[in-house]
This record gives sequence, structure tokens and C-alpha cells, in this order.
Amino acid sequence: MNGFEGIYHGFSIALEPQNLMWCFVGVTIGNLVGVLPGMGVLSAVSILLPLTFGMKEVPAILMLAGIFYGSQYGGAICSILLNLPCHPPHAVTCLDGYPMTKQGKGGVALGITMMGAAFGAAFGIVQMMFFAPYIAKVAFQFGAPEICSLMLLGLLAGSTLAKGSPLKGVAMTILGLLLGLVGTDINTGVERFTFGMIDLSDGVALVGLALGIFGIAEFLKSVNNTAPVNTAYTNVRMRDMRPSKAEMKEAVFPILRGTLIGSLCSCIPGTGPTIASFVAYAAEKKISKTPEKFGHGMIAGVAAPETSTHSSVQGDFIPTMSLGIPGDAVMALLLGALIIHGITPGPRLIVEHPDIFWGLIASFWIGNLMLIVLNVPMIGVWVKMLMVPYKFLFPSALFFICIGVYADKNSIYDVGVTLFFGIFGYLLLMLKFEPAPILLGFVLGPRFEENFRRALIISRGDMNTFVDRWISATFLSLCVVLVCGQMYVRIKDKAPVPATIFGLAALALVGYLNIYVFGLIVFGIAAKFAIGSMTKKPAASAKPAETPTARIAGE
Amino acid sequence: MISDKHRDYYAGALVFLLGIGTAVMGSTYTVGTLTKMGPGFFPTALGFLMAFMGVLVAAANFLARHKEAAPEINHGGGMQTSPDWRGWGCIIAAVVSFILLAEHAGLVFATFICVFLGCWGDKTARLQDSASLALGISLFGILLFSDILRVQLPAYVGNVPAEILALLGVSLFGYILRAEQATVRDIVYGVCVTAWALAMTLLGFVLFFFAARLFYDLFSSQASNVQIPGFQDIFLISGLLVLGLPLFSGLLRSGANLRIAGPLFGALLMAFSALESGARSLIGNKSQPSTPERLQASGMAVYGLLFYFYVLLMQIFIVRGM
Amino acid sequence: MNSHRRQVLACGALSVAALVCGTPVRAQATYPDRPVHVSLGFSAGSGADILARYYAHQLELLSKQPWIMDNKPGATGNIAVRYVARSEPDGYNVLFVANSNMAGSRYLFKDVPFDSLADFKPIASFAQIAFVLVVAPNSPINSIQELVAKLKAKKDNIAGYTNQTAQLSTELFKQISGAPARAVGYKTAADAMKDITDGTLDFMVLDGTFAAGQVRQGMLKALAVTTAMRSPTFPDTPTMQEAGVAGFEFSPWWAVYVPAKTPQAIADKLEAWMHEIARMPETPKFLETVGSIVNDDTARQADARLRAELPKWEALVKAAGIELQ
Repeated sequence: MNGFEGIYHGFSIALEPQNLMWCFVGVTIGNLVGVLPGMGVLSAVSILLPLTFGMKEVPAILMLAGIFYGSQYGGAICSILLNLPCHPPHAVTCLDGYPMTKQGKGGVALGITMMGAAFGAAFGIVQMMFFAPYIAKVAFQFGAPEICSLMLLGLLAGSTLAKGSPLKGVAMTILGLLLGLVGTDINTGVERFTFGMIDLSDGVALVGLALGIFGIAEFLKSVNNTAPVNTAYTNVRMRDMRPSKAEMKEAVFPILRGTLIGSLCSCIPGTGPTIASFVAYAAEKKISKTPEKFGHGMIAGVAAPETSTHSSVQGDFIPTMSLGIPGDAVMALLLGALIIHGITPGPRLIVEHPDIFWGLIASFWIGNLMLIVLNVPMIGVWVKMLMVPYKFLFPSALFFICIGVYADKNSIYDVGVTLFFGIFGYLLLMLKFEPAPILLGFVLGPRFEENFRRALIISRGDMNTFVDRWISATFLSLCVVLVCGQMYVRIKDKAPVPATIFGLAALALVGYLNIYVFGLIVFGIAAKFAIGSMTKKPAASAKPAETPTARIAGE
Repeated sequence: MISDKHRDYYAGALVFLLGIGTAVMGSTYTVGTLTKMGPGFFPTALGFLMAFMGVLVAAANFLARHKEAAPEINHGGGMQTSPDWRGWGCIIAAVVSFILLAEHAGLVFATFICVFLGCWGDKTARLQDSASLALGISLFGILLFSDILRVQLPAYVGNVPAEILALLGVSLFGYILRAEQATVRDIVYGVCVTAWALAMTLLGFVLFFFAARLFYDLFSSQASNVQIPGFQDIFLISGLLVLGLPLFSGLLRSGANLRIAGPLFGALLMAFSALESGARSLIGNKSQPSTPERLQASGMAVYGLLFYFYVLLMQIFIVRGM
Repeated sequence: MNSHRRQVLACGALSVAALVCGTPVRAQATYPDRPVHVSLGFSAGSGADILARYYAHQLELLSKQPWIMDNKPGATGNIAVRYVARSEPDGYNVLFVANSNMAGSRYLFKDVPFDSLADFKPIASFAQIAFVLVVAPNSPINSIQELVAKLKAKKDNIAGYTNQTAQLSTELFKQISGAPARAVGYKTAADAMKDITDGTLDFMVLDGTFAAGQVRQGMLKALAVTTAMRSPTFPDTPTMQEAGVAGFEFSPWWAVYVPAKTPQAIADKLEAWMHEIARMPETPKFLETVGSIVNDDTARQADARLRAELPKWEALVKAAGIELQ
């Protein structure tokens, strides 16, 4: 069955009244859950999973999938309007979305989000229709060294994510990396930094961390101290929400780039929408001609991460459906739902159960259409939310945060974690640190360490594994280009002397910090890559670089 | 509270201490070498790096004699100029009370205290503001999280929940009426709004249900498995929808009338559930249908659709400036 | 003002009326007379959860009361165990738990907030999950003997695992067969799929629920199952003992526990129900879909099983080099 026949078949299934109804139920619940802070997709799907036990397999999977992608539509709302990252993938949208709201362009930001969502999702679905088997193959190219290099690139690109002092940004990235270390070490089973508390052995909850340092810290800062949003702009009519031509123009390329990054991230197992949106934002800032304007309401800073989230969410279904390999926990739940119905997920799912695969794809089209119809008229309502006086808004949000964090793992301990990071985050705000890079380090760090160590075990301790594979080598050379490019820009700009010195120091550190010793190897690798591509014979230039560092590291 | 001049020294010191602490603790695990890493390698390396960053942050502050007056974009009014113990204390107490109460005293009670305390943190909050917000949110919360999303927290603990709720709701309602100095006209108006909205949602519900049924019978050869939800369900759903509306518009300061409708409906709801549980205990039917059964087929569909109706309704109300 | 007071009074009267109506006669009925809460240390939708929900559903039919699943994932399930250990011993708090928590936690974690022997009363151990030892689909190896021979010849082998039970299974396999291998951890089976299918890993012990589809459709080659008897999910795959790894039996099993002070009458009732479910004809059929085998142990057998496993876990945890802090 090729793509066109398949989708025809799929629509005939997805348009059956029962399937249509469940698809609608799924996206609506997803949308509702998306708006609630902290109430994650995972908890929503797991709460509603038992409901599907009595249903047939196709409507069951359509509904559960609907919750997943439906929730992404609601997620941006609180990020943009309230600076409250309801879901980790949308945390980065706060950085530019909230400043836009303060300039009275909250409606525009939401409008752009919708455009990006529609485009990203459509791209993801088309990709799944026609290229699912090929993309599944690409996924199999990504082993530990490739993922490790990609995470390094993400960290380098993102360490200057926030506005303000780059030194402090780097410090916060490291802090995020450190927080990511908490919990049981996957390679040895040793518990690190748990302080004897069994509740921490799974690590710090991402939802709790995000809502603590963004949500509660923000409340502590703003209580009795508010002139947050100019309410003069909140009387939005349909016309005001439509982005102007110039704004559309500004958003087009970020949307395209965001789509590509999202679909790339979705191919790689275990690299879901959260990483995609962070990487998309960082890339956008790096590419932009006016990086200094990021954090002050750049449209690109909203469009790119949002689009990449949606495209990555749709793409996440590819390895799950075509190989039976779940990309993340939600996908594992979907496969669980299939198992209950006696369907064994595996590489032949598309052939053996075309109803499910194509029905699901057709329902993606229908569901996304429903979501846009549901959401566009609501933008005005959401913007109205800003008119609620702050003294009523923040206690309500406080409650939603508490219960949302609880529902994530049904753990009251995580609510305590949220409070702790709220207070800690407020301390950081007082010292003028930007919290966003903490999340970046937290999300990318553990995957970096895990894959770095795994790559070295698999290669029997041979560092060349990062250079011998072309995908990994490409990412590493991009890292080099990034670092050199940044230094060049700094020097060219003739920034004030102390700033330049410390900017340079920071940049050198960025290379140095992320892996402590990788800086040297990165340069060795660049040379090796250049020579290796000409001679085909592995050059030895990387070797001498790593021996002394390895010794240093051992001490 | 902290002067610009010294801020980065403190910042650097904090980063430095965190880094050193991590490095020291990290080095108690097996460190290993670069190619044969132990679990302590990353923490130690990152810890030292972090400490170094701390030194840099402080040093940068020392070297930059005069800070460039960076255009400070005002984020929510900037930082407080003096310690705001009431605000901080209340917010922290709100979360702590939720942590302590949620599992042991039930969701309703925890929500009420949490929102009440949170709201009390604002200097301009009056007692009736806090109380009505807390009442509204806890009702909304129980309907949304306990009844629809089925969060694993008990709605209430113990065996007399509905009665206490009813008592609480009614007395609060009475208090709010007094505090708002509501006139008879206000109350009549509130009742009308409540009744009207209830009627509209019920109408929408019934229409949708029959449409779905019709649709199903027309297009599907299988026996319809769309069940009629029980009266209690309908009532609860409508309650959820109606409750939010006056609450929301009430908060928009569009007059005391609508603010009354929220608590009024809440009180009605509580009285109803108290009566319902009483009736149930008289009949002697104490078993409740299990979760999957209660969430059967149409129930969920209806919840979902009504949510949308509800928001549209709200939009009409608010945008039209009611 | 007067009218307000009257309203308040009326409201008060209403609430008193509600109070009177609402106070039901609460007689002590037979157990259970209200919903029973089941704590489970895995998130909803996982293989373990699906299994547990099947049993909860059957118990619901037998006891005519709702059985509510409380998923408490976190600390690899130990949070759920701790919760039940500290809950009321009234028969309304039941724990569905895997052996890794009951037998393994005391050796894997430093401060375990419960004592699996003293704090709990066993009801039954009701299911076993087969783990499978798999190799790459195009690998020339077709039996455990060949694998052991190859591993011994090559020395620097690498084996993957995704959780601690699998890690310790690998360790046990290494001990008995004498084959050298270095173990590398993965967060999920999905992460490991690339490395196992392209032969980067020499072998891997995988969760049967996930492996079932991959093995059936030729993405992986199964060499042996870790249970003592053959699994209906993998009918053609021999057990470790059949394949020549003498004395190998190490697989997750599932058991029901209640707090230690629960009345014996309630425990007996629960035990009888569990046996009834185990003997239902649909039970093995359902369990097969999640890669599990029915166990029909009595409470005493379940207890013996746990006590027999404790030294095994202790030795393996030491051998695997998992350090406690």
C-alpha cells in the first residue's frame, strides 16, 4: 500500500462515526489538559488508558494519540500569556512569548503559534505518510556517539540561550547539568546526590523543576509588586489577533527551520519535543542577525520552537508505529494499549494492521483540523485571562501547579521539590540569573553523559568512535564552527575590553565546560576529519590530544 | 534589596559554593578516567567547572568598574525593593499546606486552604475575596480533577464529606452576601444567571446527545453503545460549566451580581450532593460503579464537547462585556 | 440587615437539613464494603500495570466492590511499597509488587524505608514474566552453547540491560556460564534496539513484553528464557536450564501483599480470590499477551519464594559491583 492508497483507506476508517467521535474526544481532552499547568500528557494518557480497555483498538489508539498531540496546542497559552511553562516543551516559548504579551502582542504570538502548529504538524504527517520506513532507517543510524555529539552541539548552541550576562548563562547551564545528575546512575546503579532520599532516586522531576523556577519563583517576585501586563491591549478583536504581513514574513523562515529541527529530533529515539524546541530556539538565535533582540519579544523566538514541538510530536509516531519501538513514555503507553487489544507491536505493524497505521494518519489530519477550529476562536478568550486581577490569578495558578505536579507521578514529594526550586529560583532571580539555561542543561545533560559513557564502553574505550562515524563527525565539526564563529564575532564587534576578555573566556569555557576535556578533542577531530576525508586512512591527530587530558582527568 | 554593585559578588559566591560542594560530593563516588568513567567523573568535573565559573562571575564584576546601564526591561515590575514577608510567607505556606493536607485531608480541603492562603498574600486581598476565590476554585478543582480527570487524590477523607461541604458552602455564601451587601435584586439576578446558564448547558447537552445518537444510528450498523449518563453526571458537568462562568466574570469586576452566582451555585451543588449521598445511604446502595464504567462511552465525549461549549459561552459573555 | 440575617439563618437551616439527611447509617458489613485501593509501583500502561489491572478487574467481579489502581511509579516502585507499609492494616490497602522491590531493594538501596519480611503479609505470588536473552537477528549464533563459546573466545564482550532485574540476570548468566562480558545500561529497551540489532551488543537480556513482537517478527533472535518453565509467549525458545546453563532461574515475579497487621480472615479471603482467578481459563490466555506465566502459589509458598531469593539477590548485587552509598 503506498502513501496515497493508504491515506484513502485511512480516511475511510477515520471517518467512521465512532472513530471520528473518539478522535474528537481525544483532542479535546488533550487540549484541556494542555492548558492546565503541570498536568502532563503522560498523566492524562495514563489516567484515560483504562477507559480504552473496553473499546476497539482503532478508536482507542486514535483517542490516546489525540490526547498527545492535542495537548501541545494548549501548552503554549500559559507560556505566552502568563510566563508559566505548563509543559516542558513550551518552556522555551516563555522567553519571547511573554515579552510579546507585555508589549500587547499576546494575541499575535498565539496566532503565530497556531500557524506554526498547523505547518509543523502537517509536515510531520506528510513525512509519516510517505517516508516512515526511510526515517526509521535514519533512526537506526543514531547510536550512542551520534546522540552524544548532537547533545554537545545542542549544549554549545544553547548555553547562551538567555539574555543577560553570558557568564551567568553558562553557569546556569552547568547548574542544569548538575541537577540532571541527581538520581540513580544508569551505568552502575549508584545513587548520586539523593541525600539518602528514596524519592530522589529517579531524579528531579522535570515538571517540578520547570514550574518551580518559572512559576513559583515568578509569583514570589511579582506578589504585591505588579504592573505586569498592560491591560489596555486585552480587548482583542479577531482582527487584532491576525499577525500583520510584516510579522508573517518574519515568522516564515523560523517556521520552516523549526519544522526541520523538529522532524530531525523526532527521528532519534528518546529525543522528543522538549529537546526539539530548545534546539530550535538556540539555532534560531544563532542564525538571527539580531540575536540581542531575543528575549525581548522576537517573533522568531516563538515561531521556531513551537513549530518544532508540533512537528516533533507527529514525527514521534514514526519509530513507534513503523518499528514498534516507543520513542518516549507516552508512546510506550500507546503500545501498551495495543498490546491489551492483542496486537503485538513490531516492525510489521504497518503491513499486518494497516487499519491502525493509516487510520491513525488520517485521524492526524482530522484531529489537527479540529484543533485549529477549536483553538483559533479561543485565542480571544485566553487573552482575556490577562484581565483577571493578579491577586486572583496567582493563587489559582498556584493550586493548578500543585495538583499538576502531583498528578505527574502521583507523588506529593514532587510538589515539595517544586516549592524548593521555586524558592531557589527566586534567589537566582534576585542575583539576576536567567533560569532558562537550567532547563536546557537539565534536559540535554543526562542524555549527553549517558551516551558518552555508553559510546566509550561500546568502543572499548576508543575516543575515535566520535570521529569515525560521519554523522557524529559532522555534528562535532559544527560545534567547532560554532565556537570559532562566535569568537570571530566577538572580536569583530570590538566590545569593551573587559567584556571581550570575559566573553572570550566564557566562550573558551563553553567548549571546555560541556565535557571538560572535549575542547581539545574537538579541535583534534576537526583536523582529523579534514585529513580523513581526503586520505580515507584514519589520521592519528586526535590521539595525542587525548592522552594528556585523559591523564589529567584521572587525577 | 541587593545593590547592583555587590550583586555579582554574591552570585559568584553562590555558584562557587555550589560547584565546590558538588565536586567534593561527586569525588566520593568512583571517579575513574576519561575512557573508563565512573559515576563520579561528571559530577566532579562539572563541579570544578562550576566553581571556576563562580570565580569568573565575581571577577568580571570586579573588572567592570562601571556597569553599563543596560536598558532594564521591566519584568512584572522588577524585584521587590523591600522584603515582602507577607507575600512570600503566604505563597510558601500555601504550597506547604497543600503538601501536608492533600493526601490526609482530601483535595477539597487542601485546595481551599491553599488558594485561600495564596490569595491572602496579596496586600489588597479582603477576606471575602480570598474566601470566594478559594471556594470557587476548590469546587472547580474537585469537579475537574476528581470527577473528570480522576487524579489519584481523595476528594475528601472521612465519611461525612458532602455534609461538611454543604455547611461550608452555605455559610460562606451567607457571609459573602453580607459582605457584598447584596440586595434582593442582586440575588434574584444571580439566581437568574445561574438558572439561565444551567438551562443553556443542559440544552446543549441534550441536543448533542440526541445528535450523537442520531448520527450513530444513521451511520453505524452496530448496536449503539452510547449510553445515557446518569442524572448526577449531567448535573455535575453542568455544574462545572456554570460554576466557572460567574467566577470568571465575577473576577473581571463586572459587578457583584455575577460574583454571587458562583457561590450560589456552589452552595446548591453541595446541598445537592449532600442530599444525594443521604438518599443513597437510605436506599442502602453504597456501591459505586468502578472508574471504567463511570467513564463509559458517551460520558467522556460529552465532557469534552461541553467543555468547548462552555468556553464559547464564556467568550460570548465576556467579549460582549456582560 | 434583617433580611440578610434571615437569609443566613435559612442557609444554615438548609445545611443542617442536609447534614441530617446525609448522615447514613454505617453498619460494619463484611469485607469489603468500600473500594479497595491497589498500589502499584509502575506507571499506567506499562506491562506490569496491564497485568495488575487484569487481576484488579477480576477481583472487582469477585468482591463486588471497586478496586482502584493507584499507580505510584518513582524510585523503581519503592514509593508504592513504602506507602502500603505505612498504611492502615484494614484490608483496603493492597500492594501488587515485583520481586525486585521485595527481594532486591534492601541490597540495591542504602536506606530502604520498609522491611519486606516484617512489614508485609503475603497473599499470593500470581505471575512470572519471562525475560529473554536475545542476539542480533543476523547473528550466526543459534544456541546458548554457541554464544558462551563465542563469548569465551572473544573476551571483550558487551551485554546490554535496561533494568536492574535484567542487569542481575546478566550477572547470573556470566557467573554460571563463565562467559566474560561488560554490561552497559540503557534507559529503555527502545534505546537499545539499534545496538542489539546491528550486533554492537553481543547479547542482551530483555523484558519479554517488549521483546515478544520483535522476536516474532524477526527483528531479534531469542536464545533462551529466564524462567524455570517455557513461556507460552516464546514456545520455541528453551529455558536457560534446558539450554545448558545449569541452575539458572531468575525472573521477575509478581505478588500481592497487605500490611503485616491485616486481620488473617481478610488475608484468607484475598488468598482464596487470587486462587480462583489463577484457575480461570481466561487468565493464562490474557497473561500470554503480556509475556507472563500464571503462578498459583499459596501465601506460604510466596513467602518461601521470597526468602529463598534474598541470598541470591545479595550475592548478585555484590557481584555486579553496584555500590551502595
